[in-house]
Amino acid sequence: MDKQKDGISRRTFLKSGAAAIGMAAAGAGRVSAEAGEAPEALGPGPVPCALSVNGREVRIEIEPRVTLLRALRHYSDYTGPKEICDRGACGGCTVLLDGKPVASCMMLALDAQGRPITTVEGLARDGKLHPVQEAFKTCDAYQCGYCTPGMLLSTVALLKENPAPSLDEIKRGLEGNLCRCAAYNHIFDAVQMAAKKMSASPAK
Amino acid sequence: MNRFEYVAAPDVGGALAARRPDAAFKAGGMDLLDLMKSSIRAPGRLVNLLTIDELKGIDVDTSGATIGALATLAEIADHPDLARMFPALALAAGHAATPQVRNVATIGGNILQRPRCWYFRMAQYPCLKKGGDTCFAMDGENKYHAIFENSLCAMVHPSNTAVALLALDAVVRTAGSGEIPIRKFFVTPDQDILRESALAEGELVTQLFIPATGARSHYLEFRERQSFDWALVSAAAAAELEGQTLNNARVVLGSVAPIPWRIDLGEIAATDEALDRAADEAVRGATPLAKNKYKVQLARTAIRRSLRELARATE
Amino acid sequence: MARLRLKVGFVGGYEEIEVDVPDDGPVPWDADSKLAVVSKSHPRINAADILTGRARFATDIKRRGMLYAKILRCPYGHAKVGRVTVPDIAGVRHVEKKEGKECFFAGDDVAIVVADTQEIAEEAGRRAEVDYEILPHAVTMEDAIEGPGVFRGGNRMRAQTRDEGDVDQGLKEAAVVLERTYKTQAQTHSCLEPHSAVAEFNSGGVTVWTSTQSVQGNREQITEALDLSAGQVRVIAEYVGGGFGSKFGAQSGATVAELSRKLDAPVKLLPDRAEEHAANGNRPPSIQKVKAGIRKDGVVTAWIVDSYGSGGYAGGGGGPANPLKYLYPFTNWRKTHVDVRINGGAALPFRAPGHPQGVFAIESMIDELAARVGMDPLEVRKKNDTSPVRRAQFDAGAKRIGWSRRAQPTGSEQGPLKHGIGMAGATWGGQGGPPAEITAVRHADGTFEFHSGAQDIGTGIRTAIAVIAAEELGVRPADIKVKIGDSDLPYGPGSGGSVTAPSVLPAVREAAHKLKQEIAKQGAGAPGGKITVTGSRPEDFRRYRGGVAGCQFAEVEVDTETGMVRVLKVVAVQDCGRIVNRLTAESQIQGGVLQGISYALFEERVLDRQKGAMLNADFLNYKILGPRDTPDIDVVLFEVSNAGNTVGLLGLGEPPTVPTAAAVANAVANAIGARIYELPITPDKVLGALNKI
Repeated sequence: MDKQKDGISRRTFLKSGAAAIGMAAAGAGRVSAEAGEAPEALGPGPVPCALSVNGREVRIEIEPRVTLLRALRHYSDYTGPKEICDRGACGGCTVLLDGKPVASCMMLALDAQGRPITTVEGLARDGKLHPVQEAFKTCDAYQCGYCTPGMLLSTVALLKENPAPSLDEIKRGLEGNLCRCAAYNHIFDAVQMAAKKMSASPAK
Repeated sequence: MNRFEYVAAPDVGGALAARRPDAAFKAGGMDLLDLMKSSIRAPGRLVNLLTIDELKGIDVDTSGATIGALATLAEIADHPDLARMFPALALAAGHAATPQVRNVATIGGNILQRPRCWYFRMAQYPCLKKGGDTCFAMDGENKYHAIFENSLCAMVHPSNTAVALLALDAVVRTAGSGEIPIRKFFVTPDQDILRESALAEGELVTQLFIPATGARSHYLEFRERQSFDWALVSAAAAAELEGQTLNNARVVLGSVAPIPWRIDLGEIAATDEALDRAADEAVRGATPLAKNKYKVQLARTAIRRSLRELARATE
Repeated sequence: MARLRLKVGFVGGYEEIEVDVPDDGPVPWDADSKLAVVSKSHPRINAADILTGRARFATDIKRRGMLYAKILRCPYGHAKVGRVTVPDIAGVRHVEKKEGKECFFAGDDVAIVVADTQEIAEEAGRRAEVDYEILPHAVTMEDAIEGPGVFRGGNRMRAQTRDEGDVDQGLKEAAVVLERTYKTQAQTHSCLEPHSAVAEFNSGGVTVWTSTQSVQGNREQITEALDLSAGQVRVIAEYVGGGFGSKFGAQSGATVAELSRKLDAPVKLLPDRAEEHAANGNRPPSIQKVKAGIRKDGVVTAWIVDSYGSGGYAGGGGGPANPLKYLYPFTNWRKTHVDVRINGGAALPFRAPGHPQGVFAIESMIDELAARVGMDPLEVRKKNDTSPVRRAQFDAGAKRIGWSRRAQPTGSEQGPLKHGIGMAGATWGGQGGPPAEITAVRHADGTFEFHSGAQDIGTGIRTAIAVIAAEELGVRPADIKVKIGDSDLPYGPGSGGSVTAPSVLPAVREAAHKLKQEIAKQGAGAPGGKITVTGSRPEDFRRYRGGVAGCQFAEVEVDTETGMVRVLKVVAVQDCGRIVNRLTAESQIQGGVLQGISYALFEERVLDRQKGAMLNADFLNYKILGPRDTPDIDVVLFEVSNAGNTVGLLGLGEPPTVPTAAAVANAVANAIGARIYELPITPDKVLGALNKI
């Protein structure tokens, strides 16, 4: 068996697997199969993992059991996302994966390969704060700051999908992000401020 | 978590080939990783299903909806055709957990979730479902537990979408070309204490099919906290509306029993009086535990309100 | 010394007092002071660090060669530790076991593993085999009070009584006497950042990065625990992810320091969420039996509280009757408190210790007494509350919420959704005082630095220092660089009791004032152009009021068919003397109110009676208030010119969380015409009160 090279070898598997068994397309048709060729197993010791973080390629060696969150925090230098509950219940570990907020503590690092990841470190550009960050600053939308990285990313994702959310839509959009200091009122102010600013000058 | 091998399955055949007694299939991983972090499971191999494209996708036509097992809760909640034809399912998916979880959790994983009973999820409790000989909820902290079918094990089935799927008479398709009607998919503790679904060991759910009917549907939940929370009681109602009469009416209650709890009401007037009578009848057989008697009232209210909504909903 | 006349009080209630202050110090501000930046809204000066992920919390610290520690904890409420076997996994560097230890709660530490990675340390902990001898436990106060003894010396500790006047006479004078029992739950601090720490030795001693509310206190504790000399320990807490009272102890810091010395490598400890809930602090639960009497004219004649509280296995019940006497100066009162030991994690001070519990009972009873004599509960409060500030706040708050809109009679609204309005008053100290030292620097290029050995746990004290310094120096807050959160910096108090700002900020004025004087004296002739001075917090002088006053009005909606409660709005009227930064003052108040709602409606530590474990040691079943539970909060910053110190402020951290649960409980009672006597007010309790179960 050939050694794995980054995550690209997965596509090679896909092609050969599909050809060998002759899958019916999903949709109106069904999907059924019998056991085919066994794919190669990685680990349990450290294996190469290539992550795309804030536009940069990060190459690390980690055990398959390492979560995306710890790959970022412990095995790389992205300490923005925080480990708070480690069960996907609080949003502190939120990163954007393909632009969508996910709980990085509940994702294996290997599963995130080949997909663009955005952490809070990737929001500001050339030393200039993102409009959402600016609005959080103006509205004091934090206290201790520990939930802030996740809260910012969820806000960015929310406004991308819904540029003019109502207060109720903001609450629902952020319901996966807990703040024990309970800075929510100012956070909602900041989201509304950012929404106004960004729709006024959308080229951000 | 324990150390494990990781296999990226390219297709269903590859996934099946990677099976081993100590292997676990992993879709979104929301439930599996939780069980592993809690030391309830320790598979030596994880078979990643997320790379199997033919298990993804949502197709809707006049016969109904075919939903890939890997369709995420977010995709289901946001799908305009599903929201139009099967609102109970779209609502149930949209109510689940948080945006972060919904972006990753799959419908297949969601209906196959293990119980959220806190005794089940804590390693120091050797409960019935873990091969032990006690249900610790029976005489313990059972505020969130079952009020029906609870003489052996007091768990409640944790899946929101399962409740909707049962009301919509969905069909579960598996890799071995099997089809399991949703009514047969969920298994009670009496039937098999060690599992919650009829899925055979090592078998894979591939799709869900929901037949198109003229039925309207709705889903609602009662919770302690408005921000994401497990349901205290949930309900999915479905029926065909004729004037102010509901035909082929059914309500499935969630979080009241070890399986989604279906109540068939046949033909019923969509008035508060008729629905209250039906609700009273439906909960007459409830066997609440020391701390969850309040769920009987919630169940009554859930039945009435979910059915009432069907008559209120406009085209 | 100079004698000055200061205008103190609040709008509509000003007066003048005479104070004696040093004649070379800054002139105290009073109600007439026109200030350039103080009391305005300022964004935090370190906002960019918080917002970009540059802010380094203890959990973020990485040192070369760092090892990871994991504590193994007892899963049972009461057990003796027999043999502990930790598997020999590659990457495990060190193991310490406490064989023979008697564990008194589920979460008590049994062993510690140090490994190359967090994953290996966790695996070693999980796969460890421990022989436990299970012993009897009591995890509820009722079991501890009524059941067999579990602790040596008994489950109940000595009763403590305090009283004034003659309660029996007072009861005789009452037109109505009521007896009620109130219960409150154990609440865990749930700081998002765990009690984390990293330690690294070097030739000078040890540096400990830790999530703490007291870098100075931690330094002292670690120095003693490791038997080092003063000056060998440096504690850094530049950013702290929440404390709420639970982060004064240095257990985490001392643990990693000890291990780091033994292993000659930096060591990091990252407690997980289950450990945080079970072992790292909580607000004690309470049972309060209240007997009170009231005259027909609304004056309370007698107040008796018999309370229980439990600080867990360690004792210390948290004093639920603490607010008694100083919320209302009753003539005849008696409070008797018994601490009860249970097999639960030790309580730690939690934002206004004793007060949310006590005020829930007091303010609920006031409402019921008022109803019995047919009086408006707001009027009854005015009859019994002598604080001129709070009486004015009652009026301000009542107007803002629309007090006349409350349900009259209670529970009378048609339909399943019923609305109600309730109120509660609050009081707190927060005067602060010495010692607190500040170093102020003016560099040759004219820029400024201020250094404080206190810490900013989210309150914004960093920015407040900049605001006060800027005011004194005639510059903008953004022109002041602030260093804080390092025990090497000049002494600052631990951030508890709402003392940080009132202790530190007057010291900032002293330092800035001195700096101004030195700049004037030395000008450009300073050696190297750099001027450094130290300012110390002077003693307080005469003040207008000893503490702060507040009141809150809550509006709720109750779905009487499901028991679900939603808080729609809270009007929070709060004084803190002089407001330094309007923006962060608002944040503190909103945060306190929301924590109070969370305590009123959602949070509860659930300990299982069968094995003694905490069943909801997570963020799924331990429910803290989230975005969708957040009501509109109308913050009324009730400015009081208080004198007492040169800035004229008091602390704001704790006061806003004191009355909220009581206001919500009173609002629910107003809405449904039935009262819930036990927190949290969950649907099952509401349905029970409505006889719908």
